[in-house]
Amino acid sequence: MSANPKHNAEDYIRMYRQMVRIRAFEDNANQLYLSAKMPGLTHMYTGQEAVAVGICEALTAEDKITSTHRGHGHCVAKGAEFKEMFCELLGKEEGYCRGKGGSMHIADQGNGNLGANAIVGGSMGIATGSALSAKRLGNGQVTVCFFGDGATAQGLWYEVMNMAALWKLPVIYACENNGYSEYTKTAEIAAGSLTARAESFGIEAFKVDGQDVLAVNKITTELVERCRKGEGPFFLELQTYRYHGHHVGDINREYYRSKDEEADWKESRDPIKNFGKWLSEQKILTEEELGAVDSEVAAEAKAAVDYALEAPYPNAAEVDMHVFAGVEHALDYLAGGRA
Amino acid sequence: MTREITLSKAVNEAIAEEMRRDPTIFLIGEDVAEAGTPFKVLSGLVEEFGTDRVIDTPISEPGFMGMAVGAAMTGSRPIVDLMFGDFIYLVMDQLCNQAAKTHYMSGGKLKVPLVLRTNMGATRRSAAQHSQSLQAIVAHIPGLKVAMPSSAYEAKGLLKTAIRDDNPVVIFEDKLMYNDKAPVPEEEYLIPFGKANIKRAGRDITLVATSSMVQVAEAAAKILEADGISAEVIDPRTIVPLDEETILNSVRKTSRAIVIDEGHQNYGVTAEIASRISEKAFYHLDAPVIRMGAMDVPVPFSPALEDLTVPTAAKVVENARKICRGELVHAA
Amino acid sequence: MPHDVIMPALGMAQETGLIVSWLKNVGDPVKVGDPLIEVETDKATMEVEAQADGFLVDVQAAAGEAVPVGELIARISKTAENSAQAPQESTHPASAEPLDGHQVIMPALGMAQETGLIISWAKQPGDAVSEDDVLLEVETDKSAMEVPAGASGFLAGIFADAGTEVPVGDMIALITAEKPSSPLAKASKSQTSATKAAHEKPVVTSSATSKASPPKPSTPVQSSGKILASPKLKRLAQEQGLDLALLTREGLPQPFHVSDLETLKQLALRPTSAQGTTTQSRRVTAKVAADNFDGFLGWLAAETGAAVRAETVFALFAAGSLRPHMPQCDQIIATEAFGIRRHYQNPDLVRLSGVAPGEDIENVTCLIRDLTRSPVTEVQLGAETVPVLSIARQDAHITITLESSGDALSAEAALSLISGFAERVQNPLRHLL
Repeated sequence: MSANPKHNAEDYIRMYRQMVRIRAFEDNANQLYLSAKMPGLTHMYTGQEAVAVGICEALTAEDKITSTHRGHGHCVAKGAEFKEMFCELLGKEEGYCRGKGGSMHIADQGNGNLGANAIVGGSMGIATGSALSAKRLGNGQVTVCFFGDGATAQGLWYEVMNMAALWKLPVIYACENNGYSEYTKTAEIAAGSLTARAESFGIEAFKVDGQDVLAVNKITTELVERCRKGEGPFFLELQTYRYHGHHVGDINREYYRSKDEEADWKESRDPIKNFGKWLSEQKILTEEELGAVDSEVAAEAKAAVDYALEAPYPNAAEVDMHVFAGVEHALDYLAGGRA
Repeated sequence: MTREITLSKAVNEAIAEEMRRDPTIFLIGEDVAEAGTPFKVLSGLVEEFGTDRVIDTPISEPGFMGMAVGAAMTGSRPIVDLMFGDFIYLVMDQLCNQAAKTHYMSGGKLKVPLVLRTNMGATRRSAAQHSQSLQAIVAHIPGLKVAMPSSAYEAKGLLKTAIRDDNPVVIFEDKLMYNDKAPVPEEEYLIPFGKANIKRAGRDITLVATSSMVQVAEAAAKILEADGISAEVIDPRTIVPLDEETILNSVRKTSRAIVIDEGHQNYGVTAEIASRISEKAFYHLDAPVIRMGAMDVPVPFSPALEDLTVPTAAKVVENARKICRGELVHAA
Repeated sequence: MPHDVIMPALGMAQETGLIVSWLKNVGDPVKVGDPLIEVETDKATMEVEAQADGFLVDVQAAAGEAVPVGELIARISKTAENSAQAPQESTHPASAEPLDGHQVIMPALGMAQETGLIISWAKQPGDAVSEDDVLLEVETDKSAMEVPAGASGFLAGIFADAGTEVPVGDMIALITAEKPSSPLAKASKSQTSATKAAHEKPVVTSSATSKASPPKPSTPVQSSGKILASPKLKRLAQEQGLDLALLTREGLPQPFHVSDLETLKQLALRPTSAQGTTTQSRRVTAKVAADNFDGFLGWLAAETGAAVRAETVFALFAAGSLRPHMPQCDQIIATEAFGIRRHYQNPDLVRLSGVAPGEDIENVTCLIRDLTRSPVTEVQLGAETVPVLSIARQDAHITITLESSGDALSAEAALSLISGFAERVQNPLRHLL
């Protein structure tokens, strides 16, 4: 680590708090799902917190991200509030997407999040187009495209990397390699090297320890600056680990990974635990202060969950709203009623 | 002032006028710049607007379609050129899972103002993968608007409206009509979506027709006139949204209807419109509503076969005579 | 406040979880993350961990029980005491403990039946039920049967969904005397249906107030279903009170369109104009010996092994006698005997064994009153809207009276009908074989 990308202790504390917030959000979401209070499907980000936080802390609120089905962490890291997020998970009107998106499409659009995408690899075109737009409009914005190792098997990525490289677009492809493509080891679905794939398009590629928030933040900060100077695109492979199964409910995982392996990552490579230790070693926060952050966040999460559980569902009249921009109710419009 | 220009020229003018008006608009697609597309529809635009706004892409339809979605979500207004309508199948995820649903899934927070320009139409001897008319496939997806210009006049006015719309709009131009001329005003004009055009007034039967089938319907109406059958020809102009009221009012008057569209007949545009007529004007019908779409076979190459697959004026006349005479067309 | 331990939702389509074993005992102290229970679901087992520090209390289900997802299985409290509100013994269906309520059991129906397939539930959890209400439909051994509730009260829970196969003898539902505060059903499901219901409301309202509601089916046109006419003509005829059957009686080709409206109007005017001038009541009678006909009925019964109604044979004879006058038309013969009205459509065009009464239809061609088993010997009732043949007995004879209005049957047709009919009654076999 040559120079710390963040010299300000406040930034370190913020990164720690943001990681704790993601962990707390996911623990609560997991409980809501398990207790059958949350409808649908959900995928936990727990274990990968340093990736979302390290990257998003290098971005401004105007910079864009595209997210994935495992997207709660990106959403929190890009600046979202718990209350609107839990409301969205529970399908409530006050959710970020008014309950129309749910866990797999959650996004705080006001903070540059272009949406979580439930089609694996589905957002790669969107992220690249966002970068094309930024370049054309000259607004200096950078777009980070989050996706998992599984998405590297989608052809769309190669089409858009080609164009991004041809046109030097300000986009960073951030591959969170958590070792598993759904229920299959990445080694079984990915031939050769992922970084070499990006390099074959002339794109600079980096492999980073995704459990080290400072390392992730440092490289991202550098790449974001270079993107703004017109030196993009870039590719980051972030080595990380998801603590839960592919989705909540993927419990018997031993056919694809061992409990020992899981325990080892949680014990020795936990991004929050290790960063907390570093903060106290550096005398930035004491053990007590770290504990205080944890309890503040836990209280914040609990209050948001309680709020969301009581919050109202959308009115039935909402069902055909927001199908078309500028059209109040789509069903009238489709039958020829004027907008 | 009105002059006669080709449909191709009308499209070109619409894009140029809109790009002059709004710098956030750009064109993207395969060989849209110097080549100006295989049909030369876009010739000259790159000279005026430069390669920054008239962007040639590699042959990567899902890639540039997806990029257009992302650009539209972030302040740009892209016009995507899809060289053949048949390639819609290549961009389905980006068009239908992404562009069409983003506004809804974000609870109305994100918008996707983009235009997908592509074409349709058989009898160009281009065989099964370059001749399809796939408007029904996109019209089925909530969140997409679909326009089908029937002449140079419509092509220009509808395209300008599409470019100014805050939603994804798909426009199908009939590739056999690019050189067809029609009167187009010099002055700027827009054609609103969801407003059908009564091309010809009539009393005895309503012919609802889209795109080039409007010409087929008009030709049929002329022949029928000699028989003393007065046909009303309606061009919906957009199939999403569909101007039901104009169609229903016409059928309430004539009591008979034939719907003509060049997409496949099964589960098609004709089926949708015929069904709305049957549902909503049932007690005004004096005959079954007839659908006339393309034959439900892949488009064949041989001219001898291909010509059999599309609705013609002669077939429209035959059906119109039958139902006006009160013969049950499909009496079991 | 104690922390609830809930049966987790894990699988994609999971309704219940099976408690394999308790890893803590009631009253044990527990810490966050301690495994509490081993649960099996969707062929996988997992440990449910404590989400709070405290003591395990209020255990609701024992090892071996299947618990619906979302149900409370225990609590973690600040003290080791069970809370007052939760009974310590299990209230769960699969429990060995007796349940507070009537258990509905998958019935054993077939000879070698081991399971029953639940086709559908007729009641929802929370519904009030009476003893004889149909509760569900079960399929077994290729037959379906309805299972009654067996007890009155409230359906407190359903433990097997429609579409599932349940071993005979297993409990599938519980009926309690009192309305359950929370019926045993998956929370997310009831939410979905609640949302649906909320959405359906405006739809119902709008359809109820819709002006485009179709005409009531009490018109002479629609109930026949046999007249092919365009929707528009049907609507106009109804609005103007015109009977499309007038067109069929004229033998005009179907389907009818609006172009036939003028003809229909003319036809409708005809009887009104004729009334004052030419309408006459026709009455013709005939008398034939009864023995051949009675013998014929006896022979038929012996041949077919079943009694044949006299009226059925009369309907056939009437249609046969009318046929020369209306070869193309449907003949609807109505019969009345002992106040029961039956309808026969074209009975002369099928084999006698196939003659059977059909639906109640209008546009009757001819009505037969079978008075052969009444003391009436002869009638004079006056013409009705359709020709009426009254059949009675007088000593060893059968008397036949035809009454008709002048415009329903011409004199020639009336004579032909009654003589054809009388001939058939006199020599039934000749006309049938």
